[in-house]
Parts: sequence; C-alpha cells; structure tokens
Amino acid sequence: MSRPQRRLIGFIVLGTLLVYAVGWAQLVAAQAPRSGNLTIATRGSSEPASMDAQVDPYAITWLMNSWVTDSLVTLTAEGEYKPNLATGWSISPNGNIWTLRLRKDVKFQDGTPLTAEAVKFNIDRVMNPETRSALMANYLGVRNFQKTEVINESTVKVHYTSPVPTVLWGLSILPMWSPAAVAKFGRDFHQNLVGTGAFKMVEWRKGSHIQFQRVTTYSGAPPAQEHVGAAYLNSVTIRFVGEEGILGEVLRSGEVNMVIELPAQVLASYRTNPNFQVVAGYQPGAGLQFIMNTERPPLDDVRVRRALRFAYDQERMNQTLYDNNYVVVKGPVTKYTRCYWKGAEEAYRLDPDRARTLLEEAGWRVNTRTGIRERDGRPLSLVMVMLHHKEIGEYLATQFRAIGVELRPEIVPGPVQLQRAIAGQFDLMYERLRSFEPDDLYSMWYSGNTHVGGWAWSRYQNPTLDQILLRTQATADPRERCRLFTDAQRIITENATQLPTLDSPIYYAMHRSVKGFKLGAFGAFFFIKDMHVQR
Amino acid sequence: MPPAVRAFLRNRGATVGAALVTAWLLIAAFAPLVAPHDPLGVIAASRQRPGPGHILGTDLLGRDVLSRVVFGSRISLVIGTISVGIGLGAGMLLGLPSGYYGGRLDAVVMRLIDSMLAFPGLLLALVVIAALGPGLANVMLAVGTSSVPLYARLVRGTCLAVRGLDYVQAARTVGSSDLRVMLRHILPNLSGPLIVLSTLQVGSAILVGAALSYLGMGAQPPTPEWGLMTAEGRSYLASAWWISTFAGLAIFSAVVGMNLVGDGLRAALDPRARPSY
Amino acid sequence: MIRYIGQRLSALVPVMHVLPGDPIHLMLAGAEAGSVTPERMEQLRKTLGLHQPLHVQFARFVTNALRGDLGRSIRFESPVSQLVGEAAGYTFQLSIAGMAVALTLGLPLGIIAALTENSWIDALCMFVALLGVSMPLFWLGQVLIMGVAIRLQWLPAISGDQTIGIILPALTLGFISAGLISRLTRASLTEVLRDDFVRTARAKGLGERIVIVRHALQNALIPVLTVVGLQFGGLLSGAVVTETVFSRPGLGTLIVKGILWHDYPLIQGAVLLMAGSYVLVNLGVDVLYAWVDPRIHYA
Repeated sequence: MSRPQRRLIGFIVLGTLLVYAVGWAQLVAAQAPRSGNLTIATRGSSEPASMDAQVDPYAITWLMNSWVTDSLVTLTAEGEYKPNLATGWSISPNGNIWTLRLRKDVKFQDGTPLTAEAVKFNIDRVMNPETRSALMANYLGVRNFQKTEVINESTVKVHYTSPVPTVLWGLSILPMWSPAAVAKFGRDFHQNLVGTGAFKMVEWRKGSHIQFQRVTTYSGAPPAQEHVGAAYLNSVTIRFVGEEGILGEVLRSGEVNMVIELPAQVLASYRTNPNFQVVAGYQPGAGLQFIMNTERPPLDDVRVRRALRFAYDQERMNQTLYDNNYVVVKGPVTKYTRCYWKGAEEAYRLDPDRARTLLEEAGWRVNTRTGIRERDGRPLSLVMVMLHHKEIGEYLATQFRAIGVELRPEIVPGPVQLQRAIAGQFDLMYERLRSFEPDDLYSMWYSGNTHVGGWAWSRYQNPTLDQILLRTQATADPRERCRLFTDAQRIITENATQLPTLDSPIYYAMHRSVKGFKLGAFGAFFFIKDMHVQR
Repeated sequence: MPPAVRAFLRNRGATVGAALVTAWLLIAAFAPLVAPHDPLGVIAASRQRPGPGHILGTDLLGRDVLSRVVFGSRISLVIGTISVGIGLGAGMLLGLPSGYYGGRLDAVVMRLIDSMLAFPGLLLALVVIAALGPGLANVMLAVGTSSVPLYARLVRGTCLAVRGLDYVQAARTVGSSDLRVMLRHILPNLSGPLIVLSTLQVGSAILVGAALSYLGMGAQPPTPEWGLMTAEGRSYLASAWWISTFAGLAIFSAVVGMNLVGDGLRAALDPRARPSY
Repeated sequence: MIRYIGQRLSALVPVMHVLPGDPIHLMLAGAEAGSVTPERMEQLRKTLGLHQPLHVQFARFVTNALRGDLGRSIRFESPVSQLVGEAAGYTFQLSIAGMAVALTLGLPLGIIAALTENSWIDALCMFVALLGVSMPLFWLGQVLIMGVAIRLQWLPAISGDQTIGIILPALTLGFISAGLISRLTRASLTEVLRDDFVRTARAKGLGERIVIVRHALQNALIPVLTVVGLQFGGLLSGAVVTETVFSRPGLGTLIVKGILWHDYPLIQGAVLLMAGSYVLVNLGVDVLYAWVDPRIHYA
C-alpha cells in the first residue's frame, strides 16, 4: 500500500471511530437517569388553608393535588378530556346518568386498591355538605345529584336528576383519596394526604414550605405523563414567600429553580436573561373582577353602577401597575374563556364626565369640603373586599375619587372573603372563578345560587338572565351553549353588575436546567411528572 | 437665661436635634405650601426615578414621593404627640393617687401595671389593635396604652419619694387638701423627668406607630403615612428603591431629632440623674 | 418561689381576654360558607360551652391552656398549639441570635465610651448608639435586604429554616438593641467609675486595670443585666417586625397574620407564648440578679 493510501485508510478508521465515540457518548447521555430536585417559590398568599382540593376552592391546591394523586379524567394541554383512572365513560340518552369504567390495577399509596367503592366514597364525600366542598361540589352538579351506584368492582354509575354539563371538568380536577386513610386521619387528613400519585406529601411547615417525595412504585402512563413509570423528579418543594420583592429575586439568586407567579415588575429582567425561561399561563374564567352588591345602596342603583364603569381605564391600569404584563378584561370573563363575547370590549370606556352626570342624575351631590358625593347626608362610600393585588384597589380608589366616590379596599383571607360574600357584607367583592368551561357564568350569575357553596354573590335578580343560564345547563349542544353564554355576558355587562379590571397570567419562570415543563389547558396548571432537572 | 436652657444650648447634639425637630414641625405645619403636588393625586408615570420634577421620584400609582413624605410628617407628629398625651394622662391618673395614697389602691394599680409590663412594648400595642381593629386612631390608642406603665411608674415613684419629705408632711398636717399638696409639692418634682420621658417617648411613639402601619395595622392606603409608605415600597426594592427609602429616612431623622433633644434635656435638667431608659 | 412565678405569669391573664369576636361565626366563616343556620350555631355554642358566663369560659381557656390545648386556628385549620410550637423555635432562635449580636456590639461600644468619657471616641460611640435607637427596624431590614441580598447577593433572601438565613435578621435586630445596651452600659459604667469605692481601690494602689475590670464592671453589669432581661422583650417585639420584613416563620408572623385575618385563637396562643417567655426570662434575670448582688434576696 502506498503512503497516501495508508493515510486515507487511517483517516477513515479514525473518522469512523470518532463517529462511534460521539454516538456512544450521546447514547449514554440520553440514557442517564433523569432526576433532580425541584424547588418552587410562589406567593405566600397561595398557601392553602386545606390541602384537600375536595374542600379548598383555590387553583394552586388542584395543582398540588395532581402531584399526590390522580383524577378519573385528564384535561390535556390541547383542551381535551382523556381517560386517566377511568378507562372510559358514557352518558344515558336523557343525560342524567353517567357510567364510569375504571382501571383495575391501581393502588393507593397505602396499598389499598382503587375500586368502584373507593370512587363512590370520593364522589359522595364531595357531595356531602359536611365536607364543606365550596367549589368541587358545584362542578360535579351537587344540586342535581341523586346518588352514586356501584355496579361492579370497576364500574360506577352517577345518577343526577337532570344533565350536568361540567361533569368531565369536575372529574378532571377531583382528587381520588384512599377511603381508609380518610377514615384514619379524620380532620387532619388534609395534612396526611394519601392518593394514587407520583409523589407523596412528606412535610408541611405552615407559613414556610411543603415538601413532596417521589413514589418509586408509581405506574403512571399517558395522558397523566408522557413516559411510563415513576416520575423523574426526586423531590418537589414548594416555598411560600410573603414578600413580592423577594419572590422576584430568589430565582436569580439560585435559592430555587422555579417560580410560580413571578411578579410583573421583574418579568423584563428574566425574559432577557438566557439562563431563565419564562412561560405565560393565560387564564380563562372571571379575571380579577369585583362583584357589585346590587341589593345594598348605593349599588342597587344601576346608574351608580354604570358610573363606576366609566370611571377607570383598564389599559392605563395595566400600564401603570404592571408594565402591560397583565391582561385587560372588560367583561364578565376573560378573552381566553370559551364562548367569550367580544362586545364587552366596546361597552364602556374611560369617561369621567359621563360618570359624574350619571351620579348627579342618581341624586349624589358633591360635598365641596370632602370632595365625596353625598345623598341625604350619607357619603357615597364603597367597601371593596379583596384577597390580593391591593394596588388594583388603590388605583381604583384614586380614579373613583376623581368622580366623587370614596372606595375603601380591604384585604382579607379566603375564609373571611367567603363569609362576607355570603352575608352580603360588602359593596364590591373580589370573585375569580377560573375553570376551563364557561359554566362559571352560571355559578356566579344564576340568582338561585345562594345555597351552600353558591357563588352568586351579587344578588342580582333578572328573570331573563336566569332563564338563559338555566338553559345552558340543560343543553348539550356546544354551539347553543355558546350562544346562550354570549347573551348572558351581554346582559351582565349592560346592567353593570360587576367591575372587571385585569387578569394576571400565571408567569412561570425557571432555570434553564429545568426541563420537561408543559403548560396545561388553563393557565394555573402544568404537568410535573415529565419534568426533570439537568445537571 | 435659666441654667438649664443654657446647658441645653451649649450641648451641640441637643441643638442639632432641636433644629431637626423644628424643621419637621415647620414642614408639618406648612405642608400644603412645602409639598409641590397633591399627595393623593396621580400626577405622573408610575415608579419614576428621582429627577427633575419629582425630586424623590414617584410611587407605584404615580404619586409624588416628596409630597407624600411632607404630608406624612403631619401624621407621624400627631401620632407621636397624641400617644404621649394618652400615656402621660393615664399614667398620671394612675400613678399620682397610687403613690400618694398607697395602701390597697396602690396594690391594685401596681398589679395592673405589672400586667401591662408583662407584655413587651409592641406586643401590648398589637393586642390593643387585635381588640380594636386596624386604623390610625386605634394606633394612637394602642401606642399610648403601651407607654402608660412607664409614666405610671415614674409618677408613682416620685410621689412615694416626695410624700415622705418633711415639708410635705407638714403641709398635710396643717390641713392642705390632697390636691393642693399634689399640685404644689409633687408636680414640680415631676416636671423635669416627665418632660424628658415625654420627649423620648414621642420618638418611640413615632417608631412604634410606623411599625404598626408597616405591618398593616395602622394607617390604611392611600394615607401618606411613613411606615405605610415604607411597606408599600417593599415589593419594589430592586426596581424602585426610592418608594421605601425616603419615607424610612424621614422617620429616622425625626426620631434622631427627638432623641437628641430628649438626651439634651436630661443632661441639662439633671446631669447626675440616673438614666431612666 | 413557685408562688412568685405563678403570680408573675397570672399577670398575663387580664390582658389576654381582651380579644373580641364571636368565635362561632368566625369558625363557621370559611367552613360552611353559607350554611350557618341559627340551629347549627346554637349547637356549636353548646358544644364549646360558649353559652356559659365569661368567667367560666375564661377558666376553661386557662385550664385548657395549661393542658396544652389552645384551640384551633381558623385560617390554618390545625391546632394552635401545634402552629405555635413550631413557630416558637424560630422566634427564639432569632431572639437569641439578635441578643448575641446586640451584646457583642453594644457592650464593647458602651464600655469604650465610658472609659473614654467626654472624648471624641465617646461621642462617636454614642452617635452610633443613637443611630441604633432611632432607626426604624423595618427600614434597616429592607436596606440590608436591598443592599446585601439583592445587590451584592452575599446572603440568601429567603431564610426559611436555613441557618444562614438568620444572619441578616439577627444583624438588624441586634444593631437596634445594641444601641440601647451601649447607652445603658456607658451610663451605668460612668456612674460606677465615679463612685467612692473605686477611688478607694485606686488609692490603695491596685493596678488600674484590675480596678476597672474587677470592681467597676461587676457593679456596672448589674443594671445591664436587668436591661438585658427587659431588652429580651424589646427583641421579641423586634422579632415580630423582623420576621415580617424577612418573611421568616415565627410567632411574630403568626400574630400579625392572626390579627389581619381575625384568627383569634391563633392570636391568643401566639401572644400568650411570647408574653409568657418574656415573663420567664425576666424571672431568670431576677434570679441571676439576686445571685450576682448579695444585697438582694427575695422574701
């Protein structure tokens, strides 16, 4: 062989070896076990009172429950309901009876099996008024609920007196708990959750953090997660940070590797930083809105209510408070909600003169000494009850002052909010239901919903609106439902029974080593079981 | 010029303190003239840096920080003086009869005072707020209440000391009414220590009042109270530090002034007095 | 002695029962969101014994408290004793750390000031002390967060249960307390240095250092000891604010949240524990006092 030939052969051999080496290395890397520890920081006010989503009505609890247990149905990122613990379902022709078929191989974390009896136990538990389920019971149609019937080991029938359109949505967030564990722990069950899930809650330090540990025997599969078997993450810790300023910094300083609800004022700095990834979870639902108490003066007068709607400007609020990082909402639901009515965007605009005229018409005259309007010696003063986003209350207060209305925002915790809402001790009340279906409109605006766990706080009575909303619950046709819901939004907007402001997208920020993040169909949810932290 | 005043003026710290306090008093009195803008009005873009037009910048809602700091002085000074007034008044009411008459009345009052002293300062104020609810008026009541034991003990102590003196005994034997004895003999002995204590307590009241507002128990938005303003700027420490910083600085300077004056008064009125911290 | 302790602790009792609010209404508030019927309320009232006169109720509270049952928190839906027990550790940690900083800063400052009385060193030390006494704690805390944790990133911002997270809060607390301690040490020491017996000791010809160290300091430290006990109260108060500023768990955070959320069982439990520990610490100081100063003894 000549020298050039030998060299050529040498090159080819070397090249091939190199290709093999690289390929082998990549193979090895790909097979390296995915794991890692995820530490999440979020708002201190998000810490739930109860970790049991069957009781607690807040979205963060649904999210955390999905880590420790599974639901019968999964709402995929694309917005479809797919089987999870239930392998399939069917509805009777009249729409009243749901038949659920269950997986046969599932065990709870305490070893007890998931049977039809267990499913019946969970559904009955939610429907039981003693459980105090504020929201879940509604979604599962508690008002029309008759009974749950066990047909055999793996089949359950749920009987209603009339159709409930939100059953699938309800089942997609309903956590399945081990009946044995519920019986064992009683009142303290919510601190000792036992579900079927990929993680187990191992520690809850109130006011500080909650820690979850991987369950290695988890046998998960699509659609709950994309791979089969246990979750990748070793542990998940969620820290509650009371200070917004600090929440904005802890990711940057490396104290956590993910933040849920990154504050708006630091978004720009994270977006431009290649070490971090920011995902916006836009939310359907009511947005940060305030229900008006139409039973109590002065808001019993539609002119006063409409005057308020002309007194502020959502775009300017967004710009001032959140550097345009929030979403403007002008109607009873956000634009990310099914059956959104675009007409809401044109209904009102900033027009202080018109607001003042309306108030004058309604008999409210300005007291020149205080600047606040009065009628019969009583000032036009409104109490606004809210849970968070105090700055929105303050912004509105300055705007309303310009038209002679005194607004007094008050921040309260969840239980006090619910109590005052039911008791009618408010003029304006924060209410944000965020579900995937537009049926929150029915929950909030059907005047009959003032029962246990009812969400119709405005006490607004309008027979036409009631009719429309009732029909949404009886119809299965999605187009007809949308037409009805659109009509409902129009009536609500025209009568100014609520004050829409903005909506906060849930901003997820994470270090670039955090992989596998997948946003759910509604902004407050994401899938954790495929996530891992790269070294 | 009385020797005490001369001593006071010679003390450099005290004069600086007096200057600070006078400055704040003037600012508070003439706030509408000193402040360039309406403290409650949205006049500019949100969170503007300090610069021309807004020397101390603007806050989240676009309100001028300087104007808010200026008007805040009124609130803090009112909190300071009224709380001290409450403490002084109640303290005298408790301490005078208790020290003068002694006996069962004294025992009961002492138990009450001990009860209150079982709670360190802010904690007592917090219990009062928990009972009454948040709000500026309640803050003044709370802060005033938490200083009552201090005054009561001081008054009672002086009473006890003076009551045994010969000429006081003589006055009582002669038939002077109790009230007369208290006014003519005891009060003059009290005035010095009470002035010193009150001056120092104004500073303390401003601090505690601001702390309560910082915690959300005192002044409510949109009141331009210094403690509340510091709390409001909390979320923006990294992006808009001026919202918190100047309000805190205002509290600091006002309290430094009051403390310097108080120390100066103590030194001037009784250079050998045991410090009654 | 036991009687004395009991007496001191019972001083807490009258103030505790100041808290208002219909506890039933509040308990049912979040709970049954709307199903509060008059019958249900009556039933609960009977179960909890709230239909009995106030003094009976209060006696029950006290007996329960002694047994360790402080009721249930409305917001957190767990026993108050559990919440308060967990939180107490953090607060005491912080108070002790703060006290350590305060003593290490304050004592030397006060001693130096006293030894160099009326010099520029004295003025400087007392100026620093004045800063500590006049500075709002929450402001100092925020400035430190902004400077050290955010700008310089030397220390973490969330402390939670990590030990490193106690540095900034302890420094904040400590600096403020150091102000008072140094002023007091100086005042007390200068007075003692003027005292006759020190002059006598000097006249006897003992080395200056021995004179100062053994006699003056010993006597000066007695009132300082008292103040340390009282300052513990100041530290507890300061801890309330410090915990909020640094988002630390603890009794202070519980009290503040409890008040804002009208969670009266929680407030009662946390305040009781804080005040109780203050009383106990002062008792301890009294005992130490008696031991250090042989002229005092308790009947």
